[in-house]
Amino acid sequence: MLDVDGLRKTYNGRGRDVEAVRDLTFRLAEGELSCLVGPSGCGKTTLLKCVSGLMRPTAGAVTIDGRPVTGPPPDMAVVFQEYGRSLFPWLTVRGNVELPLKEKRLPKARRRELVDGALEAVGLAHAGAQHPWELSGGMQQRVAIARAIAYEPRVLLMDEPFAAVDAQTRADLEDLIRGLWQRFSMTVLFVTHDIDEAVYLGQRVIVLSASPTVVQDDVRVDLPEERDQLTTRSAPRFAELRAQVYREIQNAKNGSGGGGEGAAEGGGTAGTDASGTGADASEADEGAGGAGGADGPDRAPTPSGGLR
Amino acid sequence: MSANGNADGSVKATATAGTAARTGAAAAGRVLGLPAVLIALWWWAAASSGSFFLTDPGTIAATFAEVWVSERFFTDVLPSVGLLLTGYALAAVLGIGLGVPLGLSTRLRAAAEPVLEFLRAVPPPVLVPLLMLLVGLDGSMRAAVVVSGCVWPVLLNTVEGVRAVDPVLADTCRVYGVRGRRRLGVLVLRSASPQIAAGLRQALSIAIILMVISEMFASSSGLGYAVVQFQRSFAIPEMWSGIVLLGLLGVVLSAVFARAERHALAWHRGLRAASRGE
Amino acid sequence: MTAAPAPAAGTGAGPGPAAAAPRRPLPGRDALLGGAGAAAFLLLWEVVPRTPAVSADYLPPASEVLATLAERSATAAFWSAVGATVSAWALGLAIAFAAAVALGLVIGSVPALRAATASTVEFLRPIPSVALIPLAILMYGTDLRSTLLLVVYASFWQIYIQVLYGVADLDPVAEQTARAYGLGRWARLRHLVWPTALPYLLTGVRLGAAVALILTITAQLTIGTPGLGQEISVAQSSGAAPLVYALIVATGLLGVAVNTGVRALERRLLRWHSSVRGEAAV
Repeated sequence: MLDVDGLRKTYNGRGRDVEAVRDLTFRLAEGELSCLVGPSGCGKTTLLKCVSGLMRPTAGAVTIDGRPVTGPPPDMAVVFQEYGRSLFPWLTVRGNVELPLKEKRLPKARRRELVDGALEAVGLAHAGAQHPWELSGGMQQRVAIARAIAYEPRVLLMDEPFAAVDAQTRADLEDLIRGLWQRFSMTVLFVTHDIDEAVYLGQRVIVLSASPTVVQDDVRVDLPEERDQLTTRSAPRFAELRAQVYREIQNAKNGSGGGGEGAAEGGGTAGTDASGTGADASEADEGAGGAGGADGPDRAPTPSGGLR
Repeated sequence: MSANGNADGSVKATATAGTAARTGAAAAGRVLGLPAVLIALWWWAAASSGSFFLTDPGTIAATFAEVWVSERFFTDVLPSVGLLLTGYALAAVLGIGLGVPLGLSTRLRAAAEPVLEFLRAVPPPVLVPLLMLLVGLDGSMRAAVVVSGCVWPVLLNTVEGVRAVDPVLADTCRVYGVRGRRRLGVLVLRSASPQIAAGLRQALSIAIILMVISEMFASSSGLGYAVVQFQRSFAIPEMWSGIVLLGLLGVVLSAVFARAERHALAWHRGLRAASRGE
Repeated sequence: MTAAPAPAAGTGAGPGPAAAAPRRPLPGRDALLGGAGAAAFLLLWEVVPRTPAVSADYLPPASEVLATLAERSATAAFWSAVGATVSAWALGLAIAFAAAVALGLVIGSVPALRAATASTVEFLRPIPSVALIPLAILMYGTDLRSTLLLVVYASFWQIYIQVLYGVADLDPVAEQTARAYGLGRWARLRHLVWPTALPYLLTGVRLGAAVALILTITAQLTIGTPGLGQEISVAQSSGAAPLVYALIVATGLLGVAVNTGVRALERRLLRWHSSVRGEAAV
C-alpha cells in the first residue's frame, strides 16, 4: 500500500549540492511491520520526512494506495525521536493526545473514548492530567505513541523512536510496539540504526547503504510472530538474521567506500553502531537524564507483558 | 522568574540545615527586619537633620491619607491608571499582532529589521514632545505615548519567540493536520509566550515611566501632574506622598503582572525545573 | 531580529533549542531586503506629509528632517548636547555597575544577607525611578546630579538582580570541588563565581544600558538638565517640528550605537561561554 519509487533528495549546500538519498525504491504491504536500518547519517531521517510528506523529494514519488503524497496524509501518524520536543509542554498528557482529534473535528464523546483507549493501551491511563515534563523519557515517548494511535492511522512512521531512552525502557517499548501493531493492524515503518532492534521488531528489514543512499538489501524476518525479549533474542535464527544484516551493512560501507566523501562520514560512525551486540550503549546515555530516574514505574504497567 | 525560583532553590539547598529549624517568627523578622530598620533610619534622619526636603514617614503617611484618600483619587489617580492600562493593552495587542507575522516570515523580518532596530532604539520619552506636536495635550495623547513606547519590547520579543518555535513541534503539527487558528493558538503563541511575557514585563515599566512624564511634561491633570505641582509649590509632605503613591503603583502593577505570569507560564517553570533538575 | 541573545535568565527561551538550524538564506539577500525595507520606510515618510492626510507642519518629510539633522550636526552646540547626554549616561551606568556588582557579589554569596534583603529589594525594584523626579529637582535642580540620581536608580536594579541570579547559578559541585582543593575565598571568587556570573552580569549591563539611556533623556526632557533631551524640549516649545524630529532621529542613532556596542561587548566576552549556555534546557 505504501510505495516509495525512485526517491531522490539533494540539498543545496554551500557551493555544491549534497546528495542525501540517491535512488530508493521499496514497497510496504498493507498491515506490514517493516524496519529500515542503515548506518548513521545515511539519510534515514530524510527518507522518513519525504514519506511523511514533510519534505518534497527532488525526484521520485511516494504513494499511498496509489495517491501521491504531497503533504502529510490524513491517515498517517509519525512518532519522532525527540519525544521531549514533539510533545506540547503546555498541554497535559490528555491534551497532547486529544489535540489532533480536535483538529479532526470529532465529537467530544468519541474523542474521550479514543484518548482513554490510547492511554490505556500504552499503560498511561493514570497519567492523563500530568504534563509531559513530569514524566520520564520512556513515558513521554509512550505519550507520543498514544497520540499516534488515537489518531487511528493506517500508516505509522517511527523515526528512531527509542534512540534516546535507556536500554531497559527500550525493550519494554519494543514489546509495546509489537503489541499495538498486532492489536490495531496498522502498516508500520520503523526506522532505527540498531540492528538487533530491527530484527527483533520487524517482519522485514530493509537495509540502506551509506549516503548517498540506495536500498542495499531486503531481509525477510522469518521469526515466529509471538516474540519475546529472552527467547527470541537467544534463538539461533535471530543470530543468523542479525549476522546477515550486519554483513550487509558492512558491505554497504565497503561497497561505496571509495565513492565519495559522504560515504566516509557515514561509514565512520556506522562501525560503532553495527558492532554493538545488544542495545546501543552510547544511545542510552542521551535519554538517561530523563528516563533513568523513573525507570521502575515506567516498566511496571506494560500492557504487552502478556507477550512474555 | 524561572531563574529566580531556581536561585531560591539552590540557596535553600545550601542553607537547609540552618533555616529548617527556624520558627515563623524568624521568617517574619527576615521579611520585615530590614524595612523596619530603614524606616527607623529615615525617621531619625528626618528628625535630626532638620532638612527642609526630608519629611518623616509619619507625616508622609498622614499626608498620604489626607491627599489621596479623597476625590483626588477619582480625578487624578484613576484616570491616569486607566490611560496607562489602555495604552499598555493596545501596545500588547499591536505588538503581538505585528510580531507574529514578522516572526513567521523570514522575508518580512529581513525587510523590517533595520527599521525596527532603529525605532526600538529611540528612547521612548522623546515621543512625548513629538506626540504633543502631533496629537495635542489631551488624554488620547498620553495613551498614544504609552502605546508607541511599549509596543517595541512586545513586538521584538514576540518576533524572537515566534521565530524560535521548535521545528519538531512544528513538524508534529503538520503531521497531525493542526493548522490555521488552532496552530496559532496551540503552537505559535504558546511556545512564544515566555518570550512575549518578557517583552510585556519590560513594557510595563516603560508604560509607567511614560505615563508619569507625559503628565509631568504636558498635562493639566493626572498623577504625574499633581506630584509636580506639589513640588513646584514646595508642598513637601504632599510631594512625598505622591512619590510614595507612584512607588506603590509600580509595586502593585508588577506584583499583579508577576502573579498573572506565574499562572500562565506554570508549564514553562515546570519544564525548566524538570530539565535542569535531573 | 539581529543576534540579540536571549537574556541568560529571566526571559527564558522557548521550549526548544534556539539553535534550530534555520534555512540558510542566500548571502546578501537579507541585506538587500533590509535596504529595501528602510528605503520603503523613508519613502513613506517622504510621501505621506505631502498628502492632505497629515500636515507637513506636524510631520515634516524625511528629506527635510534629515537636512535639518545634517545642518544641526555642523554646529558645536549639537555636539556638546550629544557629549552631555553620552557622559551622563556613561557616568550613571558606571556608578550603577560598580555598586550593583559589589553589592550583588557580597549579598549574593551570603545566604543570610540575601534572605534579609530580599523583601526590601522586591519592594524597591519596581518603584519607577521617574517618581524621584520631583525630589531630584528639589535637591539638585538642573545639575548633572539630578540626571545621575534617576539613571543610577533605574539601571542599578537591572544589573544587581542579574548578578544575584548569576551568583545563585553557581554549581554546588564545582563549589565543593574548589573547597576540597583548598581554594581560598578570593580564588573561588575569581575562578568560580566571576565566570559563572559573567553572562548574567552582561545581560544586566545590556538591559541597564538601555534603561540608563531612557532615563538620561527623560531627565533632560523633564528636569531640563543639559543634553539632547533638553534640546528636544526647547525645540518643541518653539514649535520647530523639523528640529524635534531631527533630534529624535539623533537619539535613535545614539540608541542604536549603545545597543550595538553592548552586544559587541557581550559577544566578545562570552565567545566560549554563550555557546555553552546558549542552548536551552530540554
